[in-house]
Amino acid sequence: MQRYVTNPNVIHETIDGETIIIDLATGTYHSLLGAGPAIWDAITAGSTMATVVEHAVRQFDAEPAEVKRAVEAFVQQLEQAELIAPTDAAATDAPEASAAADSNLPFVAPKLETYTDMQDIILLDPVHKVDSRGWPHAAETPAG
Amino acid sequence: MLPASRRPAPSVASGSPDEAAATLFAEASSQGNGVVERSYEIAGRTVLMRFAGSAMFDRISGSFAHLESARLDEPDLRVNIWDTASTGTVAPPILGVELDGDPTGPIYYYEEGDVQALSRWNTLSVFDGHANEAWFWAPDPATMPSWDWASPMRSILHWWLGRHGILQVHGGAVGLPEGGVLVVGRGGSGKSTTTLASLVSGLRYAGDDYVAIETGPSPYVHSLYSSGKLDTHHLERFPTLRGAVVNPVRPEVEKAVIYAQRALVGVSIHGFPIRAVLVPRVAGVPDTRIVATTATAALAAIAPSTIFQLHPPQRDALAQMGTLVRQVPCYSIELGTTLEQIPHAIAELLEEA
Repeated sequence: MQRYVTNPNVIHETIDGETIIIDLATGTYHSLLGAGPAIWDAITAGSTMATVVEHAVRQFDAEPAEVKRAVEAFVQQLEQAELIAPTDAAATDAPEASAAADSNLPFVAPKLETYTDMQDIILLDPVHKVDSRGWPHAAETPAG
Repeated sequence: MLPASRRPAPSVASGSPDEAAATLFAEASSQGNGVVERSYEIAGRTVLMRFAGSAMFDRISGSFAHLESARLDEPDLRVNIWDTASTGTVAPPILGVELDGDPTGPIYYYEEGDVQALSRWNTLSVFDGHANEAWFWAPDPATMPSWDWASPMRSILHWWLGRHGILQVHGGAVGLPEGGVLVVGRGGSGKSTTTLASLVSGLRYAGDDYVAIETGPSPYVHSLYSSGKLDTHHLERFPTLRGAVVNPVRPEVEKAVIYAQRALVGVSIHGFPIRAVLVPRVAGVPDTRIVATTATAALAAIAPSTIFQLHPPQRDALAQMGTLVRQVPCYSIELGTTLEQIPHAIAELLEEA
């Protein structure tokens, strides 16, 4: 069963139903809106796609088929944005995700907004790590 | 930046940056110019700065003058500061070569054990977290860009304060001893307008661009620098500050710098409790108004530029800033063209908070 892992360069914080995600490597930051934070939480808890969908269906007051389509499309968006990646590791659904209660929350389609204005800072400030010989030898390949 | 051809050859070809810096600072200190020592209280802790000669003291100490302390106790951090131009010592090793097309030059970062080092804008910052000792070097105080000498040693303060759970953020702060506002947003959003407009209003000034915050049960902001920066064309809107500009002759790309403490004695403050977070926006209308905004909007205004301006980015910085915007109310301040209204609006907000 398909499962995803989050990009290790990503940090995230959810406040008042909106998730801010920052990619430390690229300078890109994202905002998740609508049902996005709930889906993100289920994915980062290590759930399989089936459980993510099940979780959302139970959480939101909408046609299951509509929720399923929206979740799958949103997960694809997250993958394209390189915030998550598929993994072959064995599924270990988090109990809290599997045990999601019926909430009947109004369903607002998940939305991913992406901001790239901070990339200017990253591009202006290339950081070069030193190599294994230590200071003051720069590694041959600059690292972001 | 000092052209490569004018750069003194480095004398240390290998080893750790703290050892190299310690050796070179010792040489610089013995050149006959003496050592200037000053204690400062930064974030409630004692920092002893030791300058080899007066050149670097004259260049950067104005930003810390409001934090000067008479405390003689064992410092929590010792910073050794020197330059090559005035001491005649060789430069510490600057890593690698500049990248093509990067006008500010490359940045090199080192981390091994408790030692961190960063070379940027041709200066060198080194921090030994185990010894609580740091070194800051510049090739020539006269060639330092204003954004570096007006907010000096940001990397060292970032690393050191981070070890105490204190986060350096990209934001300003004004208020009163009993409480004030943290002003956050990207460059050009109106942070300096908001904070510098407050200088002559009875509000106290903790900084316009970089301050440090604690996000415990009682969020608190610490002042780091007394400096404030304004674009040349922007300075025209602040006639009372024109006479206080410390770099009246400057390259076109650099901002005018003032020291709040010099511009208005007693206006600077070490810090205060954070009562609210303000996200400024230039409204272009005469009147200023403050309206509620979401915690997420405040987080989006403060987090990316804070995280990406300092190296290495602190993974827990987003969580700390998230804690702050949950703890205090967040507002958008829509900046009007009548500058006098800005501090009055903030003062009214603080009275209600």
